[in-house]
Amino acid sequence: MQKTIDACGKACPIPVILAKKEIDAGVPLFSIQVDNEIAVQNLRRMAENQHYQETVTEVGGVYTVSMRKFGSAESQQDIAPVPVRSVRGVSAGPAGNWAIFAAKDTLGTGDETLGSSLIRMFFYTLAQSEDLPRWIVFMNSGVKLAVSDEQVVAHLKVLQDKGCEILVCGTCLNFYEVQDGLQIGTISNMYDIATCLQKADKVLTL
Amino acid sequence: MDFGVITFVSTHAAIRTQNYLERHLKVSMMPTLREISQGCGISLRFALDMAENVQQRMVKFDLDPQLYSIYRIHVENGKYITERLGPEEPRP
Repeated sequence: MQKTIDACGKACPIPVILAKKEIDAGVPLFSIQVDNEIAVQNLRRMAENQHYQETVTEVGGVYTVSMRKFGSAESQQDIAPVPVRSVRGVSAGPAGNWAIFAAKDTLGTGDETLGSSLIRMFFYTLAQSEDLPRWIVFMNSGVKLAVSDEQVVAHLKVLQDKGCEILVCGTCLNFYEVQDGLQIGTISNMYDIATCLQKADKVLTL
Repeated sequence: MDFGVITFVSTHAAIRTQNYLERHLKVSMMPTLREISQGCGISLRFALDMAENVQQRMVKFDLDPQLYSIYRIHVENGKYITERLGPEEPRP
């Protein structure tokens, strides 16, 4: 019988950890219930990375994410191709194998207004550059850049179009209560973010 | 594609102007081009079709004309060619 895990009310990344436990134990088919969209997106990304197929149903604000392993005896969709994601180390475009880690919404320490101007100009310059990172990761107050800084968002759109993958920490969006305003990037979690930073040949921390 | 920039003598003037202009117009902070040797490191970029509007706003903002310059930037073969649009040189 299919196992169902109740992760409603559990903060990120607990639902992902609970699902990962099942995956690590080799459970080919299970469901996990969560009560927010960020958790659903995190579970989707993990399913993709772990070669599971996920389907989501929502009733009264409770999302049931069914996870089914590709190639398992219980899978009815063995022929479904495993999606190739740039996060797994496959190039998404002309971007190099390096990452930018923006852990705050200003550049450097000192005056915040100056720091805010500097980070806008940094992303402007990066968007004009030929040497592009594969990943741009936003964490802690850095996530606010992808939410409310129109200038940085415009530069990030250019960078995304050029093949950069933009990952935004879901826990941080939730903490600052700005998840509804995210304008660009994919809501991500510590697993994916740590994997990117580990796989990158170099990480530029802002 | 050609675009316009405002350059400034001081960083504080640049930041104050950006805070004012962004309430009325779409401007974007960028590092001052190497081709424009004078001024601080912060410039404001705008679309050329807004040039007149930008000039009017700058007059309204009442920033000392000696503290900023407005340029048209023409891009040719990856090089920037600058043309100063204003403000008029201050009277002696």
